[in-house]
Amino acid sequence: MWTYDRKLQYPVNIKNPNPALAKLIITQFGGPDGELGAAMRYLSQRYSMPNQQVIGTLTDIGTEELAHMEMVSAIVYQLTRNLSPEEWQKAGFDAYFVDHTAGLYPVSAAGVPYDAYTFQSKGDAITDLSEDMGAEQKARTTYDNILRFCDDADVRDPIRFLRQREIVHFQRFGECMRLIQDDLDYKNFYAYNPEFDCR
Amino acid sequence: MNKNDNRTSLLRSIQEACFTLHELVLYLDTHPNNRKAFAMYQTYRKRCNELTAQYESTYGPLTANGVTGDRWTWGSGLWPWQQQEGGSCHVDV
Repeated sequence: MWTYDRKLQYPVNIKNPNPALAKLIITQFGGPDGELGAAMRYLSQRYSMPNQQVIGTLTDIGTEELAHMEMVSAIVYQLTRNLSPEEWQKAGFDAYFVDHTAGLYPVSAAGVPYDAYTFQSKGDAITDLSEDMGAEQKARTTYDNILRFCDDADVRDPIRFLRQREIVHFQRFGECMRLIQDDLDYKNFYAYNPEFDCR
Repeated sequence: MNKNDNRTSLLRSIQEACFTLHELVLYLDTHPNNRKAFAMYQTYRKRCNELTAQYESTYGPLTANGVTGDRWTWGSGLWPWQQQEGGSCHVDV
């Protein structure tokens, strides 16, 4: 089970609304490399994982991703406060407004709704941890790209925090991969599925 | 500092301590035999718990199980993504 902590993992205090920037950043809520997909990926993969330490890591990182989803949502919420329909329209975010008003809904930067096809839970430890390492790097690249379009220090600060977390998670998943490989025949990591064949 | 500045400052201290604690948890997940990291974990867990208790007794609950005093205050005040006009998060509950 989970308990909600009534605080953000890192502060988000944005003074100036910027709907055009919100339209880009919302992709880290519901886009292909976003925090919602990250949380669902790790929390789904952990059940059949054949190593207790790796299950712990997937649980703790998956939980942190939920906190990141809340931070990204807080950034989008604060960037779109108290705007007129004209301001939504001028920012090119009016199509979103028509469907969701100022509510938070998980979409990509291109407006595509969140899709569980953006992640896998393959039931194979090597396969899943390879995806997890790639997913952290894809999210890091996305934050790098967001920073290219963002010169507001109030927004850059929490985005840089989130970017840094992707790097730490990549490191931890690399260690998880080593833990799984240590359990296997080192001459052929890919001879069988450690999550299914060696129970 | 006014009451809200004190609250923001204490909340920031909690965020720092709890973030450090979380980093140690992730590190220990893959390095369970590291004694130095485990000692730091114990230190920061204590600090996080003490600061949280101090905050909840003064400003209101940080979890639904943290309501102190003689009335229900979980639903009072601002939620973490809300801001006061021109100010920072969290107001009186």
